Amino acid sequence: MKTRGILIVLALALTLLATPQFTAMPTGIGSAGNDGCSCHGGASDLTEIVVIGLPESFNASEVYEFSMTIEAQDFPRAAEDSGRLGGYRILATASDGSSGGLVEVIPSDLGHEMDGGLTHTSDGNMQRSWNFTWTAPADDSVTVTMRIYGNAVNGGDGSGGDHWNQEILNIGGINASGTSAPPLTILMTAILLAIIIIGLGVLWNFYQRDPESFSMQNFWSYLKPWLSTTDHKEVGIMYFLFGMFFFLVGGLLALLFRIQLALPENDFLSYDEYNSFFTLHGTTMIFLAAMPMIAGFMNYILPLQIGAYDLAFPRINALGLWILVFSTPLIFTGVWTGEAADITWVMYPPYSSLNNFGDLGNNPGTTAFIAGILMLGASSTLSGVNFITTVFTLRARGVDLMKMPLFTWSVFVSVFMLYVSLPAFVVGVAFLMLDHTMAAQFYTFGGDPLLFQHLFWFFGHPEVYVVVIPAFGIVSEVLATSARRSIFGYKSMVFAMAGIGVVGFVVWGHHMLTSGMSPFWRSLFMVTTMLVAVPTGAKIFNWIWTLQGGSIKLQSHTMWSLGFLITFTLGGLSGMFFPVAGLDIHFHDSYFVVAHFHYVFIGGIIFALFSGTYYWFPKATGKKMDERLGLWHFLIGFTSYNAAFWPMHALGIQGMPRRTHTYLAETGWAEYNMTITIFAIIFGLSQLIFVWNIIKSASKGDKVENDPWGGWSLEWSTTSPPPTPSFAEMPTLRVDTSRHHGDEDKAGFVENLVKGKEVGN
Amino acid sequence: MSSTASVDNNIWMKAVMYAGVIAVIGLVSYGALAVGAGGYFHHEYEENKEMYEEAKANGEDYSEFKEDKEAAHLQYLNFKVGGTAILYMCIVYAAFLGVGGFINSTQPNEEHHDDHDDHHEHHGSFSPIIFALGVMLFLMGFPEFVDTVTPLINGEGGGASGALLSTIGLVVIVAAVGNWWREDLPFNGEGEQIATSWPFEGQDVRKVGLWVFIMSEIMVFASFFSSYLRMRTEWCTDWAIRAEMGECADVALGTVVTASDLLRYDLGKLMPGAINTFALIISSYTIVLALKTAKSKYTEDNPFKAPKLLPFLKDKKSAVRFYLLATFLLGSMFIVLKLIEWSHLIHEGFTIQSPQGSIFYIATGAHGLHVFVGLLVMLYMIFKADTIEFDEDNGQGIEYFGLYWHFVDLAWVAIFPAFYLY
Repeated sequence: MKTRGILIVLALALTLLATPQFTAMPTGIGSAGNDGCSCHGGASDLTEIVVIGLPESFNASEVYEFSMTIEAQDFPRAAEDSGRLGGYRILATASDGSSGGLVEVIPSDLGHEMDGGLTHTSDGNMQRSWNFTWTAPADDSVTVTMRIYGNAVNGGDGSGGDHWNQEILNIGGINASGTSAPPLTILMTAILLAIIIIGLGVLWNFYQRDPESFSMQNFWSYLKPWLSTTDHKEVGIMYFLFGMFFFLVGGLLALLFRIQLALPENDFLSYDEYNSFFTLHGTTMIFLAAMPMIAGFMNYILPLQIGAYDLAFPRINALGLWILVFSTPLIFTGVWTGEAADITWVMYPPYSSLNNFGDLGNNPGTTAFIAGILMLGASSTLSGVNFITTVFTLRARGVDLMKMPLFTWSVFVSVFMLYVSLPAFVVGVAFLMLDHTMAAQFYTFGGDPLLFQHLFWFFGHPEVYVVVIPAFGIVSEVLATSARRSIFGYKSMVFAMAGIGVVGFVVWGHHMLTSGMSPFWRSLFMVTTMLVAVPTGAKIFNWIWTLQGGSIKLQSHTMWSLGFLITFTLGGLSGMFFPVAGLDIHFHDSYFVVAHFHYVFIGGIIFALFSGTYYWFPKATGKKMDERLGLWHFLIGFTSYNAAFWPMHALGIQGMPRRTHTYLAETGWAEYNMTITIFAIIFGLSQLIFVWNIIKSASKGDKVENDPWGGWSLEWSTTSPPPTPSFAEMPTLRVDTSRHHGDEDKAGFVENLVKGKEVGN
Repeated sequence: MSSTASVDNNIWMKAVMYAGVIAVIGLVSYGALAVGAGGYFHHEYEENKEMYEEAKANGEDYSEFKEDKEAAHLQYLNFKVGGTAILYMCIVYAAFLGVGGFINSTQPNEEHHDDHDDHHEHHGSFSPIIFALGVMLFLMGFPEFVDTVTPLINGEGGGASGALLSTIGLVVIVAAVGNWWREDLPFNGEGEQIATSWPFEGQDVRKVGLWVFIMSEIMVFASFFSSYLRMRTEWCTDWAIRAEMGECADVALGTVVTASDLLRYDLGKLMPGAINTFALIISSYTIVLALKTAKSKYTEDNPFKAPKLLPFLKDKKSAVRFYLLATFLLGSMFIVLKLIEWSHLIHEGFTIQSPQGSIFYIATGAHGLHVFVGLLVMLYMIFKADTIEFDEDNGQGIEYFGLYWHFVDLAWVAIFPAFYLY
């Protein structure tokens, strides 16, 4: 044990050793992102850039003289006579996006203007020190950022062995308002603070258990089982907490750019920040919030519902979790090192795959972001193997496929879809990664950008069902239990989900209706997409029929599920506009799209996840969540949510494009946008009630028995929280839960599940 | 899961010894092939080049010298790349066994508590978290890694510091895998999970898991193929030009050069790929022999009968070990030949920096990576065959690895015609 500890410490120490080398990289981690400099060779701290003569702040239009020298330690004066010594490139930009003044080299034949910056000519290639003049901009209220690149050349043929570096200087005009904390810093500080608070929270939680014997040694022995656990319940809890944390991070990102959009012609965020934030918001919400939270429920509940003692491959399950966790530093790394990925969650090339030329879409963080996405793919594949195998092999006696609870069925269908579609996505993203790092040409320079869209949406569309189908499962469980009867139309529910699972694979083209697809394929995808509405509609009717005539008990989880029914139906209806190719050309990339997918993502998935949390929280902790706080959470959350997202439909119809940094006052969109922002903030704040409810109830909630709600499935027959392994002896399911049972059957139903007699129809 | 064979962790020192042997083999091969034979042919190439240039300058007929020069250069590439590839592979093998074995040998032995009070102790594992950390570190440094390793492989030298972060990541991954191995080594078939439900009742859960995993692998290669087919139908290949297809009617021949254009007309160039095809098919057979031997029920009345001339087949243990080793060597040969073939293509200017090169190198490279991962797993299995032994009770491990291995072979059988002949 001791050696293992030492090894971990060693690994961490080595990591620390390695850290300076990526912080020393001029543009952060990765060779990508020399940001406008066609520098060759590698970036290296062996080359130093010395700049003399630039002021700390400038006066309007004043001319400054400065010099720049490259000091290369590894080849001080290599190949004097070859005529190749070094090169430079200077970019001056002002903080408001305007020109950063004029930079000229002395004498002027040593440089020329290229791509918005000053670059050496072949004459300028023969030296390592140059003199420049800088004419400051006429507006002295801005801050000018000077990016000065120097490339030391070793004189050899080709670019091998050359080294470059950069110097970035910020020069404020004398009237520049003091450098206010940029939103990036606010975001990072918030995230770091949150991590520290979580750490302290865990420490405090441990301290509270037994203040007497508290020591850091004991704390490690408390923490260690969590870090090395392979138990599906603990892994599930960690998945859920991880997802919850990033749900808040993603929300914070959204609020920041909602503030930007609240007023017309606002400049709260810069273009780059806006682009990065909505990219990270999308990726975070789908991959780091919704999917992990669902994975949490899957892990915790599925083995309990089928009577398995654990998942089929517990270690691989834990591996999936940790790969997910360790992908986040990669995804967010750009935020730390300068510029975050700004390629949107769909990552379309050619913008995202340009390389080596410092083009747009080649931010330092982008390569790391793509690497993080690859890790997410690996994580999902590992869980996929696990869940499919578990459902196939580890069901207890009596749990036939057509007797599995609907949540288990939904997870099975969703994991199956994810599992089959994911490889296409991973391969597509790997191509992107290789375009970045190995200068492959899959998508640019003769490559085929549309190939990526096909690979992406072959995964991307099933992906939206992957997250929404488990939500169906949760709602089915919750509504049936709340109506105090089992679900209506069990078989049709199963076939509906399986039907969505099959049809979901042949609809991806509707994301590409405007990409120049031939009319034949357009009409084909139009028909298949509309077909999805059929099974979905059947499910909605089944849920309503389950409620009809039941004696409904309104609990927090019931209310969120009822909310789901309303908002998801609305979201589904707005979705039916897009497969119509003609309408799609109008709605494409407008706020109508944003409204639609937020109605299905939040109103569909997140509401169901809330519902599931209130519903299964007693099973996981043995304590009920606070109903009063739950009510407030629902009332504030549900109303503010609708108030925030409903106006987006109108904005979309009026023509407001999505992913727009700002808009003009004349467009008349300002009122709607202000409304949206206000209610978005209220919706965000209402989540704090939820978080507080979880924290409070985990320690002080009312204690519950095995089956607080009167559920209809196997997980309610075991203790709360269940033992480990979950079923020491394999149970036998004796009641056909797939049949329609009413309240009159309820007496002793759960007890009868495992050991009792058959209950009548 | 439950009680398993008791294994002394000192046994792992054997893995460290293996690593040493492998490293020596690598160095010797490098010396003999890359430095020795490679140097000889490089010398010959230079001589021919001189003669060629002389003849060219004097206006004489130089075609013969040119052919000799090219032939000598290709021979030089064969030996140089072959030797270097063997060296790098041996380094990776040695590092894998050496690091993993060393860490494991320093671990204290698991205490055996035989208190059967029905208390299922929950066994955790640190492998997942360490593995994930390693993957993250590797990917963080990946761009620098590529930039550093590429000139190294091309023999251009240059500092290796850029590869530090990724290398640390790889070492962390090896440590995690090594830990996983230590947890698995004592497994003697006791506590194998058996499926309890239809349609796999009575089958091993691991077997089902592997088939499910192969489902994902099929989709991976399907993605490569569909990408390739989509790209290919858009290119004006010579084939499309000759067939006067649509937009390609007016395009000059040779505008788009695919890997198959360079490979399929010349038996010499096609040879590595062709040999590889058979190497993989034979290795599929040897892995089945290993499984068959391990699972066969030999008793004292029915002893293992091996031909007397083959001492390495003298008993069950040696036979299983031999068949695994044969599979391993065939797989390693596959990688070496593949790299030699790549070096010829790169020599002809067919690099990754073209759409044709991209899809060829990445699709066949992804397959090669699958082979290589399989080889690393096999390395552990040879070690297990040499220490714990595979027998009737735990021989299914070979079967499940074999499933993966067969799949990789099968993928090659599809890749070879599509990328080399079509």
